[in-house]
Amino acid sequence: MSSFPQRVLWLVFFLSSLPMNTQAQEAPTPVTLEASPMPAKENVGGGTSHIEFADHLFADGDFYRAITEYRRYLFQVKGQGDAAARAACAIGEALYRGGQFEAAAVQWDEVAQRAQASGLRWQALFSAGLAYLTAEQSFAAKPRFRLIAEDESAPALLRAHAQWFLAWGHLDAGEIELARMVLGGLIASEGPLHEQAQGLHSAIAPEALPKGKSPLMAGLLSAIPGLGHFYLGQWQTGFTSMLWSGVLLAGAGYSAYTQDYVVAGALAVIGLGWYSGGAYGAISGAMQHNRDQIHNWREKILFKHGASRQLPDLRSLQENGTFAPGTYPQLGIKLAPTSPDGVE
Amino acid sequence: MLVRMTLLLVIAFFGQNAGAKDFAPFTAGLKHPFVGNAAHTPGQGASPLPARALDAPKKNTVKKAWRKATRLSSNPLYLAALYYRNFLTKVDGPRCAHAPTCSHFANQAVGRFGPVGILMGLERLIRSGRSSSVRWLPEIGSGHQRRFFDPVENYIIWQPERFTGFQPVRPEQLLLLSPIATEGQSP
Repeated sequence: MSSFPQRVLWLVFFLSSLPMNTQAQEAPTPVTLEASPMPAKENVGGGTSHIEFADHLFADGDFYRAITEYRRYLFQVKGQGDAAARAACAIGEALYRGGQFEAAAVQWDEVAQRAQASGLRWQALFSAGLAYLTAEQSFAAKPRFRLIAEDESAPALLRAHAQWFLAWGHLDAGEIELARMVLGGLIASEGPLHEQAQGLHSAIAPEALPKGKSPLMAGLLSAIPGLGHFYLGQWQTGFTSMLWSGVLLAGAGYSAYTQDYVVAGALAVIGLGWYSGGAYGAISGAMQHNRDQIHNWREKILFKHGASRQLPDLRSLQENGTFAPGTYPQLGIKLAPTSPDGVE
Repeated sequence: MLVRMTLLLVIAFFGQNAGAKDFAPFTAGLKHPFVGNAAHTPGQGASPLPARALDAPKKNTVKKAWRKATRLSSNPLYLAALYYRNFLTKVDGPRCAHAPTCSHFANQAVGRFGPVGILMGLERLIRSGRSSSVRWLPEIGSGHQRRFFDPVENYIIWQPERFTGFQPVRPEQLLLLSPIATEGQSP
């Protein structure tokens, strides 16, 4: 039995150990999921439900399931009907956005071959060209863009874009003069891409090209070990090469002087190998230096002028209200054959 | 890939009228790029022979490689490199900053190019992580396995087309298209 003071102490201890909630209890915030980018419409049903669901998956970025749904739609309608062409193009775009650029290009090539309307064919050719360009296959991208650029019946905006990407194809392949020629045509036409063509045209001018190092000069300078690397700006490698070659060859010379011919021979073989390796490295280093300069130059140009080489992101399309997978309304192409030639 | 695409283009060019308006994935004669041979209907004759991989080595190449490998196994330099790789480096620890490592690199270079490979290997020993004074080598791997990627191909100076900085020069791949017969109809 505890005394009264002890009881009071126990009571104080008990009360102090209770959790003190001085702040007002806030009502828990209900967890709400963000709305789906493209919720289903109330009247979904009938033959269009599959393609609408495919578009829904596409908008969610679930490209591979979207492909399945587009293919299900094509299977159900036997590949015919107004929306079939769009579904076929959307498969290509889903493959492209999923990073399968070559498969996307093949899909769009097949659409271009089966197309029976100019608008659809132009769009498929343009998309295939873009996919080949992204897949670093400019040899396949160039002829597709050229087909559109040389077609006088194509919309002016589309032709201008085709010329623009044709110039990029030439640039990727190292055909700078051809790229400048195509851009020159674009500038002379004073079309929609006139200004950005002018910017790229001046960025790839001959005087803007990086000046490289001569592999011959690097090799000749390597007669004195390390000088070839100094010429390339590789100071650390140059000093190492100079040091090792010097030590080994000096050791061989000293051993020969002291008539220790076995050691002299061994050191001379290693030293000469090192010496030759340094000269070889200086030549290959000059070639790598030139290649790296071109890489850096191209990266700068891509950063400054190459934003249009990528498809616009899905969110911006949804915000603009131009979201429709497999279509390019911004280039003046219309797939639905409401007009005689399929052009807006 | 190039042969397959050319074949597809030729097939499409000669047999396009049959299914020109058809976007069904199982059109006769053409396969969906993702389906391949699975599109073949059972019971309709023998399956088409699987296409030979384009990058598969020819028989003669395999024989030559086998001969080279058997020669290598009796090469003292190669045996020394094997000894270094399997015994010495396990004591010394992995300290090469490049991939492939310098010993692998030297083995590959000597195996492919003979004495010139020795020069490549020696030069590689004094290389830093830079490709040149204007650019670093690309890094591969992660954590302790992170290394600078510097393959033998960076040193083949007798193939200057490798050092242009642009895509390799190849003939243009054309697309054969039929004229549009009935303009304005549903595709």
